[in-house]
Amino acid sequence: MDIGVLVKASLDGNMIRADPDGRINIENTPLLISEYDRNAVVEAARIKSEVGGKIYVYTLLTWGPTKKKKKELENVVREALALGGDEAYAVVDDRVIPCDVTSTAYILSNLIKKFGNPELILAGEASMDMLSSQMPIRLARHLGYNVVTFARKIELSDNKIRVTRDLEDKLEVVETSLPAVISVTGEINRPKLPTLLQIRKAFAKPFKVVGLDELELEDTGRKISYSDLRLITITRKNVIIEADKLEDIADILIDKLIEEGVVRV
Amino acid sequence: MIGIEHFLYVEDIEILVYIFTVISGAIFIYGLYRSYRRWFRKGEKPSFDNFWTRLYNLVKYGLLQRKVVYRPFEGSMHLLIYIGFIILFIGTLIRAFEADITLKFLGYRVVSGSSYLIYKLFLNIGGLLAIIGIIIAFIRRIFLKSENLPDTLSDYLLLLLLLIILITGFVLDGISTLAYRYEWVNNYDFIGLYIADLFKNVENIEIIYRVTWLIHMALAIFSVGFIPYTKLYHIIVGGILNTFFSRNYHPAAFKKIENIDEIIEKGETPGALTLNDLSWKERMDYDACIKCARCTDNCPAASSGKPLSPMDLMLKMRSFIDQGIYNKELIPDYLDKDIIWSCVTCGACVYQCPLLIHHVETILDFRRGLIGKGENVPEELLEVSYNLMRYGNPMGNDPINREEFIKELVDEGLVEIAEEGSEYDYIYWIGCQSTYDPADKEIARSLLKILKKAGLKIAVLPEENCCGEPARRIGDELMFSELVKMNGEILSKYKFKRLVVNCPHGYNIFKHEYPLYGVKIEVIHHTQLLNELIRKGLVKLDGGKIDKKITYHDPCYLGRWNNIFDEPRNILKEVVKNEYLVEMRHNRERSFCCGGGGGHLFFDIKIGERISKIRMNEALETGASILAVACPYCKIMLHSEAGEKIKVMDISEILAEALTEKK
Repeated sequence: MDIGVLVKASLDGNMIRADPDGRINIENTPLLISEYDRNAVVEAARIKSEVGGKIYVYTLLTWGPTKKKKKELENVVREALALGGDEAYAVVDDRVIPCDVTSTAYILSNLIKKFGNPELILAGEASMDMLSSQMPIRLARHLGYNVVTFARKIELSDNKIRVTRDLEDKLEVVETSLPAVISVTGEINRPKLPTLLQIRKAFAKPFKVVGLDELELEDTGRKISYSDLRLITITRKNVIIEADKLEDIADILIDKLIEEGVVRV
Repeated sequence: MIGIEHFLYVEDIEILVYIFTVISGAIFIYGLYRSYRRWFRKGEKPSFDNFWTRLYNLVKYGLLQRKVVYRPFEGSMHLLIYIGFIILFIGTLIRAFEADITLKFLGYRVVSGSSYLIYKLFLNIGGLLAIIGIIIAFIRRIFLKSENLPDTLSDYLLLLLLLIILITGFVLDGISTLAYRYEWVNNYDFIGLYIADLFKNVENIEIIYRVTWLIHMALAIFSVGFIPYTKLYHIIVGGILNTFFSRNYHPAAFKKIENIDEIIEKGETPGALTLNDLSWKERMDYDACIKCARCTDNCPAASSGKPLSPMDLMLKMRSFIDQGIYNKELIPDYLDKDIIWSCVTCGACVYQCPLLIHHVETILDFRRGLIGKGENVPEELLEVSYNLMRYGNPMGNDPINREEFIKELVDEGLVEIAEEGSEYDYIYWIGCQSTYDPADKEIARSLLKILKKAGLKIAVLPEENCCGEPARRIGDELMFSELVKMNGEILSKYKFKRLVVNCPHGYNIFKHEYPLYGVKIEVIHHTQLLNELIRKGLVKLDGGKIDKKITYHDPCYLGRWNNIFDEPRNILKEVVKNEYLVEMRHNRERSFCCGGGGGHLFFDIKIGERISKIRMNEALETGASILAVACPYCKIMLHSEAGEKIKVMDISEILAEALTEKK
């Protein structure tokens, strides 16, 4: 069974560049593979090891300028390939940048139908920069697939897919059938970071970049407004907990968290 | 006639000597052939390039045993046995040569008259030295064993065998003396005479002689034949081959990985996963080990209870060769991954090994293999690799922080940013730790303050990547080769005489490892430069003495690997009174790692004690209130253990403080 994985080149939260007025300087902020997408690729590789098939990596460049960011997108894709992807397809087109989630879902659905058209699509629960979590649902709608979000466990049997969903305060087990889009949480596995050597080896894997024309699509017209993206500086509390025994440290920490209202008893 | 009476009492069974020699010789030659097959697996050929250097190493480390005597007690023991047997061996050769060649065919004696007497004296002394050596060896084994010395029955049996050969030799000597030279040999045969007296009234002396001769002759001949199958093989593989074929690059350069791009194109990985992936020299290393345990006794990983023992690793590798598992991946089924990741690459094992085994090279080869496969690698180290790829530094710091730090330094008037086309005496390569780590930044600042005072024209680079040392030590050879290319390119843009570094890890990699990959830079460690400036009078310290007890921790990559011991101490002598400068239990060549080398700054094997804690305890033992270091890694590691009693400071910080106090 072939599996598709959605991978996003997100703005790297560790390397945010902002202009003096606090506006995020997108051009100079490097892109990084969205963290949970790593989980999705690794989960796809696990499923593949059980049922065989191919793993297609799909992506779309949402941040510009295209010239500068295309290279960074390529690095993100190579990383996904190094983690287990077999083939990759990317949309890079000036006309859609900066692309919002509605357009991205629409364009990706066309990309997926045209290349590989797998019955199972995995995605990270959210992208690291926009965190809307809408992508899997919108994509499923366009493709006409079932959708399950926030999966921390996926079990395949005959025609059924059993998914354990992580709903913050409880786990929910649901069943669905193919074709389906499933988004996974960070708890589903522990992806290993790929080394440069593995990424270099992934250069041998097929990787195709297309524009809107090749997908026979028009400019979708929905874009993110730049001026909305601002840097907010938060000062951390910097509390250092000291005690001799690990258990004591844990106790103090729990008390503090209760005090802050982070943990409810 | 004053000379040897050959085959006294045993002329009728003389033929046995030749029969035994032929059999023993065949056994010996087969043993050598077997070894050749063990080492040369893929059509490699032993290398004879740099012949004279190789010969020099053979003489220095093999014949003259330069490293064996690093430990005076064990070294003397070994020297006694070694010299004793060399004398006896030469004596036996002379005897055989005379009996079978010169006397038989030319009627000429090699030793006769006074030369015979001296010959006799030498053999007496040789035998005596060897016996004393073996008695000491027994005493050492029974009462004075070092911590990790393997102690098995075979070790005792071998000593016993040698002792029997020696004692029977003296018995034969004594009876021969009684038979034909009692009157004239005098004290040239002082032991022989003594034994002769013991046998004066013994009956059937001829039979006793014949039996003893048979035992002595057979044991001696066959113990030579069986050398390749016993611990005695260290004489040949260790003393002769491993010294002659020792690596002709600096030991801290480690093995060059040739054609990494080709390896990757073929879908292979650099380094080793199996025995066959290792080099013939590494396989020879395993057979050279004599189990003296000096490596393990001095290994900080072993001393702190980590799974690594360099000696055991060598012996395990040897046993894998014995089992013939050349093509199986050894980790994790045969070899625990933690053994490979425990190493801090401090080089204590390599320094100590009397037979020039390079344990770290094997460890690094395995790390390369594991990183290549991406399995059985500590997650933190994969993160280091990833950070290097993404951020250009192992900690994953945003490079913009460097820009800000440089701007601070420029604003403080401490340094300028290098410009292409300008000429500089020195370019200061700050290094990742001193750029990003809040505590280590002070090293850079202090150093620049001093250099400014000395009036040096110095600049920092507008951009700087990791030097690649962490990448190379954790086995990410591809990352390292990329960094060498990038840094080589950056450095080639600027004109400067010397590159100053304050990190011994950077110093080592620029000095020894970059040249292997075609990048040659004149590099100087800041302690060398500061010492030079003091000697030249450019930094003046008269009166600026610090009134605190200071002890100095030798960083592995500055001290043991690069022999820079005196410069840091000389600087300290300028800032404190001599009586305030104290040494730790382990110092100079025997310094004990801070625990931060070999990638361990970035991860922890959570087994046993922390190496940094052991070292800190040694520092506290001295009662010093300042622990001087000359390495940002050491500063981080030791600072984290310091507590209230002791302050960890880089030498540049101490010197800068002394200079301010002077004002």
